[in-house]
Amino acid sequence: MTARRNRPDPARRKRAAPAIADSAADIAAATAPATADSVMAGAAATATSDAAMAGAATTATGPAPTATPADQRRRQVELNLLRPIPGDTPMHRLWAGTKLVALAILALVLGLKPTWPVIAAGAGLVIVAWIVARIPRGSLPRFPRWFWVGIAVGAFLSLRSSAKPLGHLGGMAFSWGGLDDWTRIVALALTVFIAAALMSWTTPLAEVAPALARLGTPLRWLRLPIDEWAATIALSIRCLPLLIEEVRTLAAARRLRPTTRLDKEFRLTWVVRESQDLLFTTLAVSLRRATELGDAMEARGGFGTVSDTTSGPKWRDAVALVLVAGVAAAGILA
Amino acid sequence: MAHRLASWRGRGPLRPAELAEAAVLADVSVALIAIGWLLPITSIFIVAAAAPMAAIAARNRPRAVLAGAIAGTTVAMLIAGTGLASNVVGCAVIGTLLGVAWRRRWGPVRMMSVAVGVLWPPAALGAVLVLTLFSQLRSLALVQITNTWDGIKANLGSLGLSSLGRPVDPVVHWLVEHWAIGVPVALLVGIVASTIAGRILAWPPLARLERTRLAAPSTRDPVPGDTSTSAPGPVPVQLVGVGHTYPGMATPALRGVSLTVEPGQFVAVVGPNGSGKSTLARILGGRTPTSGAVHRPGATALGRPGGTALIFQRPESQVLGVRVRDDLVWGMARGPSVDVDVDALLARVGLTGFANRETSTLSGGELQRLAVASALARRPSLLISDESTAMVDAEGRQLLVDLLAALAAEEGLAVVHVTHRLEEAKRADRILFLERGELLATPPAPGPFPAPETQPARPPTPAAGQTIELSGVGHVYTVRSPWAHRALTDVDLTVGAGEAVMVVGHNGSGKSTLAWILAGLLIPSEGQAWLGGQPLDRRLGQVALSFQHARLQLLRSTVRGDVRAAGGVDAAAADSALELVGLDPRELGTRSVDQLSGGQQRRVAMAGMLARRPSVIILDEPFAGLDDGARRGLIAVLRRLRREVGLTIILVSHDTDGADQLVDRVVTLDHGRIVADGPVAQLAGRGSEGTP
Repeated sequence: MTARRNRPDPARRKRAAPAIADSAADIAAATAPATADSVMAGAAATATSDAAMAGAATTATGPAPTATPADQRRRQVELNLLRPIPGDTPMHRLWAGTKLVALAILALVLGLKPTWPVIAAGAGLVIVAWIVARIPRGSLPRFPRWFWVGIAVGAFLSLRSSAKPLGHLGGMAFSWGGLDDWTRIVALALTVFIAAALMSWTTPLAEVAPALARLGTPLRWLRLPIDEWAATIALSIRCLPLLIEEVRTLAAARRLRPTTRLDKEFRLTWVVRESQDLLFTTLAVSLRRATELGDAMEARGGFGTVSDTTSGPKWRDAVALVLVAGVAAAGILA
Repeated sequence: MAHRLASWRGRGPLRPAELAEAAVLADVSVALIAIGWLLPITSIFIVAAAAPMAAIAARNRPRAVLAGAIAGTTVAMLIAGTGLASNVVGCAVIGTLLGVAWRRRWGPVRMMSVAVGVLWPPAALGAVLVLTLFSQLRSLALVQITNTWDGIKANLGSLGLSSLGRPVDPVVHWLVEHWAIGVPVALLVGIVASTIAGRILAWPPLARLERTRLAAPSTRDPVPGDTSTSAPGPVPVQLVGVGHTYPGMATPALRGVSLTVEPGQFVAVVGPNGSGKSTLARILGGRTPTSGAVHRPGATALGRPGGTALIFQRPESQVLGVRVRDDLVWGMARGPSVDVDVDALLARVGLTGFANRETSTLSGGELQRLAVASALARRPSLLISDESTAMVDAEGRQLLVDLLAALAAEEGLAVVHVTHRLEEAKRADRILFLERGELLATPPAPGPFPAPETQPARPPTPAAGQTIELSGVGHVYTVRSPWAHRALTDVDLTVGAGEAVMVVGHNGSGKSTLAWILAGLLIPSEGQAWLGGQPLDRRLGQVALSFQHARLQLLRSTVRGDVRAAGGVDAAAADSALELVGLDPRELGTRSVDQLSGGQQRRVAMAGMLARRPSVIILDEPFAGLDDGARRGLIAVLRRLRREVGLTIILVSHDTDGADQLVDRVVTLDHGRIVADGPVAQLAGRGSEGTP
């Protein structure tokens, strides 16, 4: 990070504050594009600074600096949708279907018995899988600030509740029971979230749809169009980066436009109309894309195979499933 | 109306067009929900996310809606687990209602009764069943609600406001205790609210979709209408007096075309945009013309061995597989009969070693060669390239045309290459010139470039222009993650007011990142980027950026409306901006933006930006897909803007054709670094083709 001198620094957060107070809906519309862009770019600022950016676009002058750009850069939210981390570990070598089943078992057991021992066992499994897969720590998405604020507020309110056992600190009563419940909920949600992330980090995306088609074999007996669904899933996975790029560009285009209301319109009407315009453009562009993809498919004579993969369950998959099922059974029965 | 409804009643498996629409729109829905998730204040997106699902339902069979919902749910599950997935399910349900209601033109009362009478009971029952099954999770969640409320109450008490909590207290406790009633009631409120909000948000876009030319898959003519299963035999093909008029069009797209294509021939079809080239390509591919006769020995057999293969214009839309090797076999019959020599095919098209690469990392030229390889995997006897070189850089074009020529000469394929560039036709055995739907006997004379200006192209006054200064700028995407990717390194660049600069470089050289930084859309992770002494990202809108895909920049429905919104100006100012880019506001002002050609869309987008009086305009690949005439017109417009308005122009392109008429300085990027920066003479010295 380079040192920055001589850089005029209009306030970001300061201008954001009144904007937020203004009206939540308005901000949604004004910052929506910016936000969409941030998310989609995989590298951008948080809610507050985005609101400020939108503000900076409309207001020409700003008060004294409060946040430095360096700060801004540190607070970047990063989201990586469906991006595998290449590797050749036992986790990577597992069949995609096995990981899907393991994920389902984990979610099911945690839902059936959200007690500390079961959560600990599930989290333990996830941590072991993480270490085995050699996932670097930087892979975790950096959560937006409101997420941490939300967790802190939840914890604070729970501490002030009357759930037993109660504790005392400096004359104030605190509910350890409330904190316990809250921590359990957060731990449970994080465990499932990271388990899903692990699945997409370690699985070549091309293998997901064929694995699902194979797992769905019993549904074929009900004459459900499994292959059609698998092809749709495969195409959705393939198109996600394309569409993200398009939404990102659309959001950028919106950010470059003024946010002033031209005609005398109610603010809410304006917000709704702007959203409809953005939605329509998104739909129009996506439909054009879909037409081209359809043409390309038609030119290849339709859909059938979606992946050049021969992977299937092997003995190691059995081992992994037995391990997960064992932990699950122990959790349920214990 | 009646016939349109009848066409919904299609049966049988999904057609490729329907499947593609379901997959793409489901993705859009997931993306919108993910954005809504990241920022609670943008929860408007979660309601908006029902709109793409509504579009599937409004335009397709229930079967496609189901496929889209399943695909969206799966993708959401892979991204963030069950939470996101359940949101997608909710959007799919509401979206289906919105779409069906739109198609049947239900009034608000009928729609709401269906929402409450048909959607709510099973949803409520399902929720209660799930909560009964997961009883421990349910108690945990209910306890948390009670705890949170207790906490709020305690804090109100500390603030001396406990009277505020008193009336709410029994309600919260009652609902928690009687969750089997509370949850369905909450669901009812949610369904009613999102149905109302969805109708407000999603119906107007659906209405606009219906007015545009974006026909629904089931009402669309299948690409080339060849569904026969008879023996393939697309060549030799003979066209006798063929003409074609699209439904609803006054003038024919093609008339009186007679020609023959033999095996082993490389035929080039050259003509400007709108000359009927693509129509000709599709008739060769099997579409039945409206007049004249087509003789061929068998079926065109799209995608079947010995049949016809088609390659289209946009590189990213051709490739269906996640990895290169998946794309080669995509769509082939399932089972052990898939025997494709992946390595040999890739070697044939010059992509050796690409088998395991993800297709999203390939450049335009590489993608098009992959499309050729995928076509070859089906061992066609006729290969039709419909403008496949239009979006590819000079080097990629050369490789692609060489490949097409070699396939005709060495493998005995009949190859038809449609293009608007005469130089690509030089390798062909035969060149056909098309103009306004007719074959010409002789090549048309190339139009002249704009006449040399009487005065130098330098602006008379630097105007109120400001200098752009980048010092030590570098950018890394998703820094500190395994996907960290450096796009720019140590870029120092100063662009003075009124200058016209061209930035050239290969795919992946960092051109687009630089353009985004220059427009203030991206804060560089290193270094400083200033405009007139202020950080660029604080001056959003002062530097205009014209994207390659201009449609994304047009948000309003009419041309004039869009220029007004983009510039924040009145109708008169919008009209003069339109005139500035060489468009007639009287003719085009009220036209829908979806009725314009790609070149016109680009100009309307430019007009919108100019109406805002920027000091700098950046144009990202402004010539991509334009034929010679449109390109010359655009260059003339830019020269005039520079002369009359004193606008600073930054051209970002891999396409240097004719740019020497406009710019006086060329900056070359390679692997994110500036490797050359000098007067345009350097460019002329290298010839008008290609980057170093």
